[in-house]
Order: sequence, then C-alpha cells, then structure tokens
Amino acid sequence: MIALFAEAPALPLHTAGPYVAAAYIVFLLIVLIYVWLMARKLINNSRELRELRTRLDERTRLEERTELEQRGSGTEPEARAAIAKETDNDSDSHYQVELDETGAGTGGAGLQ
Amino acid sequence: MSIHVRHLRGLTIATAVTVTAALILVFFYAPLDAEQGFVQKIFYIHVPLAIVSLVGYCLGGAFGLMYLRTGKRVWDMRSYCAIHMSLIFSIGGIVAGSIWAKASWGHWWVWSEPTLVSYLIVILLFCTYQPLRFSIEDPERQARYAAVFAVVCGAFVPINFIVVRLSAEYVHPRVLNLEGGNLPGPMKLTFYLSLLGIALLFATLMKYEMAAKEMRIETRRLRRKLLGDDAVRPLGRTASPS
Repeated sequence: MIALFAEAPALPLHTAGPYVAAAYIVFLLIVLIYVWLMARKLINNSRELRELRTRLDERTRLEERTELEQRGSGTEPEARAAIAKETDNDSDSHYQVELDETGAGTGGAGLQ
Repeated sequence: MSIHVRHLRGLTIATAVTVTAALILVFFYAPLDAEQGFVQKIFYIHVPLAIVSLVGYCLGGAFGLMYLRTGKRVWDMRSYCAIHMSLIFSIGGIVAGSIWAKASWGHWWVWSEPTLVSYLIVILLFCTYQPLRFSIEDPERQARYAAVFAVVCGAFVPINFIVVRLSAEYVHPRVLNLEGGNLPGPMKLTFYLSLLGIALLFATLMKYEMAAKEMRIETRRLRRKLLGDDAVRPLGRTASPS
C-alpha cells in the first residue's frame, strides 16, 4: 500500500497524506464512537428488559397461584396443602418484588 | 420481530462489504486527479457524507409529514432517527470538507463560499431540533411540533441546494451535475460505490437506533406495568421519542 501511495500521488505524500488520513480517520472515529455508544445503550437496555421480564413472570405466576388458592378453598385437603406449600416457597420472591417496588426510583437511572 | 430489527444482520454485512470495497477502490483503483493529486481522495468520503446527510434531512421531513398524516408514533421515531443520523453524518462531512479545504485552498473555512456557508446553515438549523423536542414535556405536542419543524426544515434543504447551485460565483468544485458530472469512468465508479456504502451505513445505523429506541420503549412499558408510573422518568426529560 505504501509503495502504491509512493508511486501514485501527484502531490508529495508528506504534504497530502496526513490530510487524507485525517479525513478518513475522523469519519472512522465518528462511526466507531457512535456504534460504541449505541452498543452500550443496547446492552444496558436488553439486560434491564430481561430482568423486568423475569420479575413480571414471577409476579404473574404468583397472582395465578393466589387466584388458584382462593378458588381451591373448596377442593380436597391434599390439593389445598400442595397449593399452600407452593405459596410458602414463593413468599421470598414476592417479598423481593415488593422491596424492589419501594426502591424503584433509584433503578431508573439506566433509562434515557 | 419488529420491522426495524428484521434484515438488520443482512444489512450490516452488506454495509461492511460495500464500505470495504469502496475504500479499496478509493486507494487502489481510482486514478489520481490531475489537478489536485492525492488530496482529491477526500472527495470520496466528503461528498457522499454531505449528500446522504442532506437526503437524510429530507427523509426526516417526509417521515414528519407521515406522522402528521397518520398520527402514528413510529413515524415520529423514524423522523427523529433520520435527523439524528443526518446530524452525525453532517459533522463528518463538514470536518472532512474542512480538511480538504485546508489542503487544497490553504484555509480551514472560506466564508465567501456559498456551498459551505449554506451547508453550515442547514446543520445549525437542524441542531435546534433536539433542544426544541427537549423543551416540550407533553409527548404528543413534542412529536407534533417536531414533525412540523422537520417538514419545514426538510423542505428548506432542497430549496437551499438549488439556490446555491444557481449562484454564479463559487469556487467549490462540482462533482455531479445533470449531465452526470465530469468524473472519468473509474473515478465515477469509485464515487458511486462510496455513495452506496455511506447510504447503506446511514440505513444500518438508523435501523440500529430504531431497534434501541423500541427496546427502550418496551423497557419503559414493562417498568410502568411492574413498578407503577413513578418508576418511569417523565417523558419531558428526554428529547427522543419514548
């Protein structure tokens, strides 16, 4: 490439070369900085989206179980015991969701 | 899958291939200009950036018009992204042009040259687009006012271009005209490939930005659903559509 440059230019390379290089480097830098910023945003957003979806799924499951529990009060004792056990196991995650709700204002810093 | 995410990988590959091919042609195939020599290579990046950015502004205006006609927020988002990308490309174009001017004319900037000054005016005009959006908190009004701005300024771009072309006194070189320009064959091929590469780059980056915006909107929606309205920042805190 250097040999080609040395043979080709009508203007001496030591005069024209830095200008051409600067123009292309500026272009490349602008594109790279933009892509880097966009990639960072996309990664942060996709991580937050994944977390929110998981929490939403947990909440939906919990609501379904609660509904099932309310309806299941008239069912057989074994079924009621199973529902009660499941609800006990999930009580921690429910508590976690509630905790996060109270601290929600601080979690929004990643948006925008 | 969203329309903005579809074909994104294919478009990215096509962009990378075209831009690489254009760079190879620029440095290994296109002959040196008899008058300007090696410095003329800057034209293969400067002119496509300027053309694509001006078309992007017009596109932003057209998308703004579509928003005003349909009221669908996706057109507002497209208009925003087109103008945002055009601004980035404009800055690249004007810096590359300025470097060329220094190498060729001996000055970074020539205020008496209508092409340069009018391009700067267009850039400064569209620089006010985001502050305008930022100043309006209500999302509906923000989108509507921004669309009106985009349409009016988008219409200004071709008018400005034609007026400058009709101007008798200029020193800025004319790469293209209605007769196809004065470039020889290999230079023309290199130039058109560079133009295609920059246009594809514009489309790809715009699609990425649209995908990022859609993801952010989905995040806000889920956040609101899960944690309530208080967990989501007010829309007026951001200039981009949400």
